Amino acid sequence: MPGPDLHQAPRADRATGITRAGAIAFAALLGLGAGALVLEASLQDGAHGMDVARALLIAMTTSWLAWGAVQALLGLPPRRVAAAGAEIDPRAYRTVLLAPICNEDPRATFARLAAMDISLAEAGLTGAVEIAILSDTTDPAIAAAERLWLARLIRERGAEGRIRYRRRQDNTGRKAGNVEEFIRRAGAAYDFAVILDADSLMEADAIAEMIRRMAAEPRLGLLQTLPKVIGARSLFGRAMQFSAAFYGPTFARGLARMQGVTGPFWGHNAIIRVRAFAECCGLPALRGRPPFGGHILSHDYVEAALLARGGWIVRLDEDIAGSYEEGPENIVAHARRDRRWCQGNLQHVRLLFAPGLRLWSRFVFLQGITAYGVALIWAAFLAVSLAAHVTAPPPDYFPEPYALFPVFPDDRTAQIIGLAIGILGLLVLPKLLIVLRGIATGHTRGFGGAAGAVLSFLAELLLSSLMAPVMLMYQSRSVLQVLSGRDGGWPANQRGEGALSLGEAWTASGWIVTAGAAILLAMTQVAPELALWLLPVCLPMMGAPLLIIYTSRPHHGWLFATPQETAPSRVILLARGLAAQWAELGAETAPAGPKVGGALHGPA
Amino acid sequence: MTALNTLSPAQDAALPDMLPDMRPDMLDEALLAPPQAPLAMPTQVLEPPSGGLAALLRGLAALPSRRARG
Repeated sequence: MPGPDLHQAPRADRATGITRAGAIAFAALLGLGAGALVLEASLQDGAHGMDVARALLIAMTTSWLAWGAVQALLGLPPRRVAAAGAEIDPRAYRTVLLAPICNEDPRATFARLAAMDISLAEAGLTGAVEIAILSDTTDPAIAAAERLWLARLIRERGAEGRIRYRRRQDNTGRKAGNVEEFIRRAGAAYDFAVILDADSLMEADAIAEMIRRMAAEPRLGLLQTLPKVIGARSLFGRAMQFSAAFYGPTFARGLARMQGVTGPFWGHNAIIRVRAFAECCGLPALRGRPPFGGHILSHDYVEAALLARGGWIVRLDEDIAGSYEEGPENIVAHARRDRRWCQGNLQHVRLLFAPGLRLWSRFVFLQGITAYGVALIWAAFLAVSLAAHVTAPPPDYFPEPYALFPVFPDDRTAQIIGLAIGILGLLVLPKLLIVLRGIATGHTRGFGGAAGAVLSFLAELLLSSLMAPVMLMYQSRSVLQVLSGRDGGWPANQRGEGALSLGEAWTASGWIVTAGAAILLAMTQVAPELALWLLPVCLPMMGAPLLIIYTSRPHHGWLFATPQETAPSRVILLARGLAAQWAELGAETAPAGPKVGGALHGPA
Repeated sequence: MTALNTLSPAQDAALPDMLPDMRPDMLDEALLAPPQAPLAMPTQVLEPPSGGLAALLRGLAALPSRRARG
């Protein structure tokens, strides 16, 4: 397979270039406008260093919000994606599904793989698409369980020689190293590899379409799908699931429009051209020790950048249906995952000047770093604003000596309230526009209809507003921990973790309660007139354990309904059915025979 | 064994007994292993050999002492 000529490496087309420039200009102008407004209002009582700092900080945070909003706005119009020709037969290409696992529940993971195997068989892809389970499991008990459930998976599916399994004794490089070891050992046997996560689930039709698109565009090195979140059971999980299903495609379309041929890789639910990946994506360990040195944690962004550096196209095709993943079920699990991502993204500061990268790839690294740095900027803005208020000199009504009449400073309250509304608008408007478009196009049907979607939109807005200060605290702590050199490691996901007790919630958030109470108490002493304005920030912090407990509880019903819940696709039903049957099998205390059979048995 | 979170610890411990019809030795190791089809995967250069910015900063920091040594 010839690699693309580096001299003719795909570059962003004119439309993508204009889109990027427009988006950056939009974010920069709004940030500058907000900063200028705050500076002008602050100067009414004289110029102070803190006024300039406050203006700079609001300019940065507003730019960041505008950057998020512009992605949604860019995603509102429909996008024409180059679909592959139906004449391409996916069976003509050797493809492997790679399932890297590390201390996961093998029963749930293998049930998903069995469901995908059935789906592939029903689509006539058995034999053309293999499955390789790449275990990095370190716990001997889980490794033993993996072998048992693997035996069941292979026997029930008649999959000898079709479903592979190997366990590494040393898990160098974590997931990236796991996949790399497989490619070094067996990569030449395959044209394409679909990279999964332990909680990934994909319809065979989606896999077939990905293979066709890879075959249709020989310069395509990696094709990323937009996985929909499924399987949420708690209030938090279902709110996130709704958000991902309802808003996600629009944001992804905007992202795809802006990224063009230098698209993203999110580490899973994506297909790679094996030779391109082998040629470009052998990752080195960075000099020094973690958190900034050592193995690259957020390897996916780096692999996308390296493929682009090698002249390959990396594309996000958000229109491919039938791609799923699971999400965290509570705020604590979300914060734990976010801690890992924070360290991974901040580590990219080492790669900003890596040789030969596309300018856009460097920009994407910077964007990922900013996504976490902005938490500290928000916190600094709040702190500086409060300090500026407390330390502001009293108004001087007679600035000129011997003046007969007082000079009253101009009241800028209206402008500042306007700015606050504008900032809120950047957060709310994109979502509101997506809701309105959904109502106009009938897209809300799977989300409980127009009324259901509107109420879910409002409930999600309320929930995310309550969670925002708590998330801000977790993110700020993560950033400070990484900057102070604390390595959070890369612990395995605790998938399916649900309702939390008061003790667990307090352990995870007692420090946030203390911080919220301390801030509020301090303000009531120093500037009681500001304490009221701080309530929307301090009250959720002080109620963090209750918020964590409440949102971790099981939740059902029409609120936050998604099409994947109300009308799940075939592979979701298969996975759910198999997991239930295997759970019944595993829960029996007496010796049990095979329980899987009947309708769930697909063709081998 | 927290990852097997849908089973109780006792059930986790008793897992091999619960699946008596499944034994690891039922697996055909030859068929299980990925195919032997090696593919070269060169390690990429992500940091400039000189250490880039860090080396520049180190160099700048060393300037005064070099000057002092004359």
